[in-house]
Amino acid sequence: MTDLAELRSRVRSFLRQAQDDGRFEPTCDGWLSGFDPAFSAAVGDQGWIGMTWPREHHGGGASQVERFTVIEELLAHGAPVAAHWFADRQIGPALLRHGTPAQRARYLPDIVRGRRFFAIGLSEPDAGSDLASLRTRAEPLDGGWSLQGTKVWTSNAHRSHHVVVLARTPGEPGQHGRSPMTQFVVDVPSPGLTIRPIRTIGGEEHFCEVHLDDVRVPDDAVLGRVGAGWEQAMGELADERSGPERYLTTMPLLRAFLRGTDDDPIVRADVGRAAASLMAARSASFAVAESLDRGEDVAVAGALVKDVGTRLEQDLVDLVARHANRAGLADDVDRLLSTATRHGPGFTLRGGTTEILRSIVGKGLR
Amino acid sequence: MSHDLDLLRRTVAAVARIAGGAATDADHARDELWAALAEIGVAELDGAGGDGGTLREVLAVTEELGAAVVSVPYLATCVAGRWAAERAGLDVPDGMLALATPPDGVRAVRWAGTAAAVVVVGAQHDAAWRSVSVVADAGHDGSPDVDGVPRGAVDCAGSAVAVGRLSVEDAEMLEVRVALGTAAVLAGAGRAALEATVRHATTRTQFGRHLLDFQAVRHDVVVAHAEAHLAAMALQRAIEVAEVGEGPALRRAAAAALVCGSEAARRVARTSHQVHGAIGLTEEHDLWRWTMRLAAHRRVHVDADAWAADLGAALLGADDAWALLSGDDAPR
Repeated sequence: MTDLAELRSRVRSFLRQAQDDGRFEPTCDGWLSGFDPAFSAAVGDQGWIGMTWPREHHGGGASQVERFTVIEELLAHGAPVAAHWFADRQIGPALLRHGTPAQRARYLPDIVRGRRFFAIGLSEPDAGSDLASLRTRAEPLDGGWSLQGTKVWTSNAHRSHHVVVLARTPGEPGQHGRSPMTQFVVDVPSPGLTIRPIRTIGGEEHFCEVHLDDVRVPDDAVLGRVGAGWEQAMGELADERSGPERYLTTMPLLRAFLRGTDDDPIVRADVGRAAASLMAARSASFAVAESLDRGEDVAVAGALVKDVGTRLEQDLVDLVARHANRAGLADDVDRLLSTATRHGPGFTLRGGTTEILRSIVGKGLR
Repeated sequence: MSHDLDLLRRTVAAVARIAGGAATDADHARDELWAALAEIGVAELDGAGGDGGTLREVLAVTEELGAAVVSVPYLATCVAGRWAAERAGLDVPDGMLALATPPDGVRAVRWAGTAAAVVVVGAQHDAAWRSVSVVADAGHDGSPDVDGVPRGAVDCAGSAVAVGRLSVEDAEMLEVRVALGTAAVLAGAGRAALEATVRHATTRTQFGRHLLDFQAVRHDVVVAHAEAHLAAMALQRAIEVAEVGEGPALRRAAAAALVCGSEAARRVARTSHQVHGAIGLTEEHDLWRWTMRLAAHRRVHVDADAWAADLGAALLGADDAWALLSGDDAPR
């Protein structure tokens, strides 16, 4: 067995055991709405958070393709991984790239243990796909900053220890005519910080509105360079766009459906076509992980995988919905299908809409 | 290794370009190109390892020839025909081969009349074996295929020179080879069509702008490009699986490559013609060579829906479909 296959089987055993012990029930979209601090702590104890980070920074020193393998299994089993998701995928790498030694020492050990959770505040009421038009401001004070503005769709902000906020900071516009922005780590709770969960279809609460009214943070809350926040945030998005969470969100539903549905001439080719697309998307995503291991630019390839993969996630929901009643609607399929149907429209929105992604890929065509 | 493969690809592409430029008509161009392929040592390959080259190499050549302007029967000869004949214990003459596969059989065989011989694969017999015949090529008397490739009926009864048997395992592997070879042709032709499309869309101006600067056009091209990219990834994965061994995992991977390749081909052909406009329908422009090659290869030798059904049947009712999808029995 190869090392990757061995790793895959180890993660699989862990997840089967956790399921047998009743520690989680598979869910679709577990990386956004499966918020379970105890489970995240268990994942951290296995060494599966921050696994690609250097050992001297508390990471596992593993490759991107090893992380890919672990992430695939977590998502395919519908594990509740939302609590640590953004810290593992985005904030840890951002701290490694741009953080100070003090910040790394403060945050990384607990992130890796699955005990410290981050939310990411990018979108605003008037800045969605046109993120560059965001209006949240940070004004310099003596020894710190005052933040003023509103973020929205900030997933799980109300359950996280920190929100990383992208805000405008004073200075002359850069070469693209954009006035400078800076990333700040804001503690939850903080005076002046109000977080209001927004109920989504079906009554779940993971989206939040984050209101900052003169929230004071010290200078060392600045993540990276003052004025470089836009480039930093875009770089994070480009690198983290193409992982397995862009095609496996609805895999628990497909698995449950396939388990309970016998071979049938009407369903057969339909399932085969979906499976073919899924296998291709995996290969494309795996190739991006290999590119990351080689230190290559993955902005275009990542956008492409996300566009195709997230539409496939939606297609899988449609596939099951069309055929779910053939064998009688099993309880688990019904439950998973409900969640997937309600969450489905968001797959092609979050992390860059399909339209934005196609513009990125289109620029790469010339 | 990957450096060698890259060199092989570039050599084949260069040879194909030269042959396409030098020849005056399709018959000459085909013969010129085949002679050039023989000269660089790729015309006698069968992808069975050793001197026959690897499957990866043969499929790389197939893909590059899919992108060429000139058509040659490389899939029929070097991916399928020669290998099948050899597995059935039959000799085949040097040179180009035509391939006839069930159920379409011998009525409208591509390349009939231009090949040294026709390799005819029979239908399944008693679930135990398939017949393979090597038939002397009798000349083309049918209408050419949509991509201009000559076709003809092959008379098995009268002129069979040799008949052999293919085991069930070999017959399955032949199907896999034809699926992968087809996916490779589709990948090459699709890539060439898309490159021509991007070229056209970045030079042709309407309403004072390049076509690619219209968002609707750009997104259409992006979707076609994305599907072609995924299909290419599925093909690469299938080749990796093939290098581990034969069996159900390879069959699933080949199904994914062909099903995605066929769907991407449809998308690429439609978008390419839409972007090119009327010029794409003319013989003055090369686009038809690729889009019509896509159309022909989506139909001949393979049935993508049957492959999809085959893959679906393996997953329906499976206790753990994810284990199959993540390729447990063919680890990376």
